[in-house]
Amino acid sequence: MTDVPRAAAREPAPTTPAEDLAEALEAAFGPAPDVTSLHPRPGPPPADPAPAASRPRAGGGPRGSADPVRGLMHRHRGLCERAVDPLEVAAGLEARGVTDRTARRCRHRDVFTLAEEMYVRTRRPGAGPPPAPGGARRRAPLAPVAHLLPLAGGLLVLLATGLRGAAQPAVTGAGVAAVVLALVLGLQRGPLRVGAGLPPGAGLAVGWLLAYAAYGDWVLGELLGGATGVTGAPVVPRAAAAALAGLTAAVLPAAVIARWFAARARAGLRDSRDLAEFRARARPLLAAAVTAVLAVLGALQLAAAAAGPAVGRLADAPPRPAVPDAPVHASGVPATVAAACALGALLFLARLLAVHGFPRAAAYGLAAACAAQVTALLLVLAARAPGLAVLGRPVELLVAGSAGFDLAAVPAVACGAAALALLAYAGGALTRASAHRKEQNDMTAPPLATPSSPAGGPR
Amino acid sequence: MFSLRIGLLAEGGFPFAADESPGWCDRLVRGLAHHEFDVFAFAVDAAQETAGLVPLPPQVRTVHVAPLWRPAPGEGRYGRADRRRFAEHFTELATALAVPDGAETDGRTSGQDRFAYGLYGLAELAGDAGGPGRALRSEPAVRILERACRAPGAHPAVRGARVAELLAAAAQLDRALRPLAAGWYEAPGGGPAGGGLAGVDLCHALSGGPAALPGLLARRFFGTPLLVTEYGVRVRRHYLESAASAASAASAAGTASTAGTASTAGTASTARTASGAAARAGGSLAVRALTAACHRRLAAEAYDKAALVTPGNAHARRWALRLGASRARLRTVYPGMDGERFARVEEPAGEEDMTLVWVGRTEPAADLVALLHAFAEVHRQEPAAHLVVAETGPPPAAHAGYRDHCRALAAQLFPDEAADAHAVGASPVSFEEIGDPAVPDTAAAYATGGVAVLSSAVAGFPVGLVEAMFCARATVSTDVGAVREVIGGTGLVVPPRNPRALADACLALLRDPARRARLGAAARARAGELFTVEQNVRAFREIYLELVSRSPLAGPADGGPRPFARPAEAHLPGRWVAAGACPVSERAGR
Repeated sequence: MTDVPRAAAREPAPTTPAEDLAEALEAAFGPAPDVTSLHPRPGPPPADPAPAASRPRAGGGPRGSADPVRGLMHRHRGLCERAVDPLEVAAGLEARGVTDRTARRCRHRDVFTLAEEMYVRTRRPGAGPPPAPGGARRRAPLAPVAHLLPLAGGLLVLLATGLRGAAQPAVTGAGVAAVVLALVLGLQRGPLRVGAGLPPGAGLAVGWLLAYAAYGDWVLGELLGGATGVTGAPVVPRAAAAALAGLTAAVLPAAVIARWFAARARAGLRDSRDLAEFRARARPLLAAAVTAVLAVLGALQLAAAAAGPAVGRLADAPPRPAVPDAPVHASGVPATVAAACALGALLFLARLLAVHGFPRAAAYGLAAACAAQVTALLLVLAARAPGLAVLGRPVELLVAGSAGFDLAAVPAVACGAAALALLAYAGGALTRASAHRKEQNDMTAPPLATPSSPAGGPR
Repeated sequence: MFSLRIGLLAEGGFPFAADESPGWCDRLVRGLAHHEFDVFAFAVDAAQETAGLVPLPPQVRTVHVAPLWRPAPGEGRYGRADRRRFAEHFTELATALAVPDGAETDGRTSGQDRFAYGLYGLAELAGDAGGPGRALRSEPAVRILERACRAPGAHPAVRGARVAELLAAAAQLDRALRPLAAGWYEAPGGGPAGGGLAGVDLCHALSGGPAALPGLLARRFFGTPLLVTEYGVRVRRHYLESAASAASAASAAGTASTAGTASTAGTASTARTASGAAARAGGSLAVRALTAACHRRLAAEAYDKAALVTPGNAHARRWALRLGASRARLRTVYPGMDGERFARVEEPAGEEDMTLVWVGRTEPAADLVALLHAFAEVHRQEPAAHLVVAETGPPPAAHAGYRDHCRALAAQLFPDEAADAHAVGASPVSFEEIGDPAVPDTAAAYATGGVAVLSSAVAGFPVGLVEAMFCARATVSTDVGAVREVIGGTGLVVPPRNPRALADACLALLRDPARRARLGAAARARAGELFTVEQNVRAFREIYLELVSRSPLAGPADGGPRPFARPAEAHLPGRWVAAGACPVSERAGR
């Protein structure tokens, strides 16, 4: 059945004037041989039958096979198994030189119907097995040095508490600026890197929050104390400076936790069968990440509260060896620790949201905390106006209300509330599968199809 | 000769300087200088966008470029009503993509109808509220896609799609639908005439697929007729690329696992595993099935709605037919090639010219090995025969070793020969590179031999064969791609991968100079008639007029006469067809 003479399978090409010319030339110059077939016609016996018989059949099967398609399927089994539809098989077959002639040998009209049969007959595994997890995971590079840069600024603020005179506010300001700069520059790399879309105001908000952490208590204390002017040089309490330094030390652990969260979420993407399952996996991950950050912050703050005064005393100026470590309005240690923890959690959540594609929500959260702090200060200021004393009551109650909570209660409440709001938002946003698309795309974007020529055609 | 405004729709390639040569589109534009052209081009990668455009003739009025490789800048955030519209239309689209071809989704509407409904719905939404890119990357889109994949009747390949695959598929659809956000579809009143596709009389898509999508939208919004030219079949190329990515994913997974077992930790292995991971998500079956369905449905929609489809050869024509193009609206237009370059090559003179010439790139698809084996047979029977292998360019990077392999094989098969004991020997097979002083161009390469051989195992449109025909060379070629259609009866055709048949054919021509001359002359005549730039330009000129004559010209009436503003039949007084004069319709009415 496979020994149909090749000449018989040919279709006559449409005649054109050029072919007419060819025919005329052939007629004029000699007998016209069969120009499209060089093989012996059926009449004369083949001159050399042995090589012809030993040649493999184009159909793929052994000579005389009743199922030539099976041989083709075997030869192109990879193509058939990976194909998503019969057209892909057809395209692949054509690219491998299978023509309609081969299809006709398999008793098909053309390559398309042959491909259909091959596609239908191929046994392929139902759902693909989950991609092999394990070592094939690329982790976002961690940049430890870049993440330790803010700590330098924090230590600068802490050392500045030992200075006296005009140098102290200058060094403190330089320290806060260094922290903000290090955060902006240092987080260009690593797991806390944010792509486009972060509003520029977010950096300002972070700067304000850090500045308030340093000077907020002093300003509030001055305002509450009824000072009519600047009574003294601005003072950063040692506890606040130590808390700030503890915060800056938490950047590196926060980056590690963010990377862990992203990696586990990606693994969840791979392993989850549907979106609900992914959400169920991602929720505890987020809770664990936030808990870990709070634990780290708490530990660092307690350590800073213990060690901070000692570090600050290193820089004490010799002429005034025994300065009492308590300015007029001091904050208790628990309040300061709580405020620093709230601020740290707020900054971490904002950054995490921004990293995963919600920069606007992050900016809103930071701005809300700033607004709350500014409002508190303005309320206290406004309360000085005659008859408006009632405006200052909430802040006064907050500061003086509970034992142990004093001036630092304002940032603690402001940042804590904002952090809680962001946490609630993140609980919905960061457990979505699409929130993890960005890294997903960075990591596993398929090569984009690039046409090699305008229409793939000749020029 | 009146002037039309043609909207040329391109995807990569033609107007971009990053591509190596301007191609047939450039010759078409230059050949139809009396028309005006607006070029609407999609840049498919960053290089095209940065490298600028080729120098364009003055009849090209405007060039609009939109990127496909990155999100368009104008993507807006949808309000509540727009989100609802998006969900409705994307659900239709996703359902159409998830069901296998030919299956009825809910008993009434076919998948193709749902695809069209969803596509045009999203296009209208994009016109009202900005491109759907942001919405496509959002969670609701993934959820819709998940629901479509889990629905009864979904394709088995997508039924078990995991979350990562759904995300990757949504990203691919985002890319595939970026033409919707191109911003060329403002209504005619929206701005000065000629702002976008609204002012165009005719859309000419230079390839199917994404390039035809703006034409489809212009047809829907403004009634502009659409002409689709399909030289390389776009959907077929997508299938090949998709299969290649799957194959590389499979091999990468293999290397990753072996690298893991061998515990060769290091930067090289991490890079390899990273690329393996990258290939896995892109090459997953479900993602490829959804993306391929999108391309297939888009191609089918373009073939269905186009006023005319002009495939470049019978092969492209078969694909168009397969994807549902109607025979009545298919017209093969052969690509035009610059025949002037080859006109100065005189017909083979020497009666005793025993040289075979092969011109092309050394890559496995060209099957040079078969040619060398065939020539071994030729050389055994005709010791005077020579073979010139002229390479048109460096081999593709993927097949760099193939050229060395071929040269080694040639050296092994054909030791140097000399006429006598005192002459310096030479191999009967010589390798040349086009651009060398000996063979400055392709024409010179063909001039070196009497018979041109094309041995490739795979070919689309055989450009080299047409060049040989222009050079009046008798040809022996393998029966692949469009070879038989191109050569007609003016050369010999043998089966692919059959060195013996190739050798027989070469010998037959080498031994018969008269026949060689006859075939060469006929080939030159055929090429000069069918494959010149002039015929290509003429064909498109007539097609443009024909299409525009069937649809009233759009655009503002500026007082001047507007050709084809009314169909010619409208001027016939009274009824066009007398009652009762049309028995066929009468019978049908009964």
